[in-house]
Amino acid sequence: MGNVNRINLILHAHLPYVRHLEYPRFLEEDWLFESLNESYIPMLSLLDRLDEEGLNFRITFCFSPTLLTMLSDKELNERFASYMKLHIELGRKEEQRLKGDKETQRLAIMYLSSLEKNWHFYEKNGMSIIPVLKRLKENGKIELMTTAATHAYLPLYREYPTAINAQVSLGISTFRDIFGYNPDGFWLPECGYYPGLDQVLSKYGIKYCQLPSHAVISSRDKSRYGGYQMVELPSGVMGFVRDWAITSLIWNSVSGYPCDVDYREFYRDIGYDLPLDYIRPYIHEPDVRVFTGYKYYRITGKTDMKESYDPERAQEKIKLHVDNYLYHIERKGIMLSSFGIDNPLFNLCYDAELFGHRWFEGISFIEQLLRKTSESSNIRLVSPEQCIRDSSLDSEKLYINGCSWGRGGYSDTWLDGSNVWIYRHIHQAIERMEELTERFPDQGSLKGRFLNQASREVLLAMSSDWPYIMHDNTSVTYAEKRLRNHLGSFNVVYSSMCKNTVNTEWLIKAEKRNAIFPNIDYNIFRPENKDE
Amino acid sequence: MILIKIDSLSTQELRNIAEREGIEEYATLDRDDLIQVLREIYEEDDDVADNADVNRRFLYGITDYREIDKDVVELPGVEELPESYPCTEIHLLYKNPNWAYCYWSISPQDLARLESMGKSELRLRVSVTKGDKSESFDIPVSLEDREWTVSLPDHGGNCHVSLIVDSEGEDLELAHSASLSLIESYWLEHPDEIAENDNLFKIYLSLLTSKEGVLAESPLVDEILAYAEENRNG
Repeated sequence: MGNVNRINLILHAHLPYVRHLEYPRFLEEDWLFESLNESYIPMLSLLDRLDEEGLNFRITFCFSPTLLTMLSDKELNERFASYMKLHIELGRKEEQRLKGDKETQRLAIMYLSSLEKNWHFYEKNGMSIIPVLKRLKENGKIELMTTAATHAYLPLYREYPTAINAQVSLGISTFRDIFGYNPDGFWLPECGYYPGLDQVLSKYGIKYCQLPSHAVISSRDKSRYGGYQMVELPSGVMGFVRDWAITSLIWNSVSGYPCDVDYREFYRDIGYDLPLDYIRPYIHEPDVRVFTGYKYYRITGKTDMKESYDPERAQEKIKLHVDNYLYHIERKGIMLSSFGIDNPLFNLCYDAELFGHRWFEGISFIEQLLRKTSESSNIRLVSPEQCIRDSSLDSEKLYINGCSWGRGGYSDTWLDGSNVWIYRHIHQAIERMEELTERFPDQGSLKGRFLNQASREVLLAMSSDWPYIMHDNTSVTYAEKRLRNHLGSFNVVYSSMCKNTVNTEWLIKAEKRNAIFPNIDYNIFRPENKDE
Repeated sequence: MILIKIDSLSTQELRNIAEREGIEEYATLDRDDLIQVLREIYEEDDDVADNADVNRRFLYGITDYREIDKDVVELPGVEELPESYPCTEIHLLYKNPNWAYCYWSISPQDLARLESMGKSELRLRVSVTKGDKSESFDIPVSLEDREWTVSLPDHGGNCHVSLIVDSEGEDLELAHSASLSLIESYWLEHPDEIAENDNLFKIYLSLLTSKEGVLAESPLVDEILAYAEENRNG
């Protein structure tokens, strides 16, 4: 048998915990609804269909604990139902409005039909995507991994082993509560690694994680395989090194496939283009224009004169791009073989929301990729678990330095002029949380609940999303408010406990507001839990 | 405040934005002028604009120009955070192979003591230990300073920072940070071997080079490759 190029495709689905039931509709909750409707449901519906067809494929997914919590939330689910109903209504209205323009009308019908199909799939699965994940896992088609409890960028908390332990252990227990078993894999948020983190993962039974692409060339040891085989970290946890070159065929913001002129233009949406009087019921108050998902143009180029989107033309392009993608992998496999690396492993890690939401044709790309690889004799989709189990596969021991997949490969993205101020406060909250666990250990009832809420607030403040948004300059005000809210809430508990009192009214409201990690035990922050 | 992919917005949408920004001629300006005016308003960095793409996370709206989230009623619990906390401590965070960030607090008691000693300046001591060797350098900081970005002198070893005050000719340490292990790379330690490992480097770089020949951004990889180039040139 000749060389086999093994593709380890890992899709990371994550959204920060956003739940504002105090408002009838909340702008940032759309992050979840759009991701569900445009990425998660179509993706899982596709995989379900391919599974029923009997297609042989393997993909690894990480659904973050914050996202899993929101996906299991009854109230958010009701809001998602309203979102879908509203957008289906808009589709019907569009169908009527575009009666005289058949070309555009068929696009409106395409979106409407997609919404209806997605909703049907969601209803059929008990108003949840979690049963689908379980089914695909049981059928051996997907592998599931977890990540840090609130997706904290761990290298900037290395000084606080209790906080690292809390992020890892709650990430695992949230996964277990939902899927009923312990995960083998742990997605390092933002690929953030530091020497010693693997020891923590190992302590909790984790067998593998992913690593950024430059981790190998810059490692303390001389690598033989250059990232094309598994890396054994000092604790025995296996590292899967992301192939930046292949991932950038999609990910590159200038030349990546999603930038092709035939693909749908993400930025032109009737939520922005149509008169307010018409679109008002489908945007946010007060007259805040947002995406509706009804987008009728193709990218065309850097011009205002966008041409109509042509789905058939885009599908043809998808086939070309999948061929091109596999061609690059095969060509690289030949090159690696000539250098003595047989059966190379290509670890391709992407944000799941890229497919379908940000790259409309991304779901079709995945479908074609799975179909093509199932027919291929020299390309095979694998999962990390399969690689670890296969004793015939090579690996090498390496000491990996601190690294991430952020700008420059280190911590600059989460530690720049826009966000550096947050760490003083979050670190202080962690220290004070540790102090509370020592002063008030093993509290039951009300005080226990009060302290549990404090630990939730600290963990939510640690989310990598807030500094990322500040760095990326998108929803900065919201991110800053959220961070201040969590730290402020923590301080409510800290100052009350210093007076040995419990603010019951506040507690009940806070528990309702941030209803995450229902089984959390604040004692997880006890310094005796620190790693030696 | 940014406008993302301004070129992709419809002219109508650009007019909507211009109107909201109070530009009187919004209805008569042509597309190029509208873009130029709005870019000036938002001081859009061309670099940022060119890098703006659909792959940005949490990009679920075209613009943030309306500061829409200002309309969110104050969330409960939101409060002003102090500039520093009433304890004397210092923390060092690793930013990248060349820079670290440190922040510190000084307790009111220590501050009062320093003022009574007539001190208006402290020193931030950066210490690096590598094997048997240890070296340090001082950075003068004022009593009001609470943070500093520190240049890391070398790769390998461990680094920590201390807050030092001069007390009657003696160095008095107010606080010191936890130790941070610095990057130690095989190829930076063995540059002489790079030339003999051409094929290995081809493998390494194949992971990091786009189809256009662009290398993934990493100062450390750049440094290793500079060594490789030096060695190749003898």
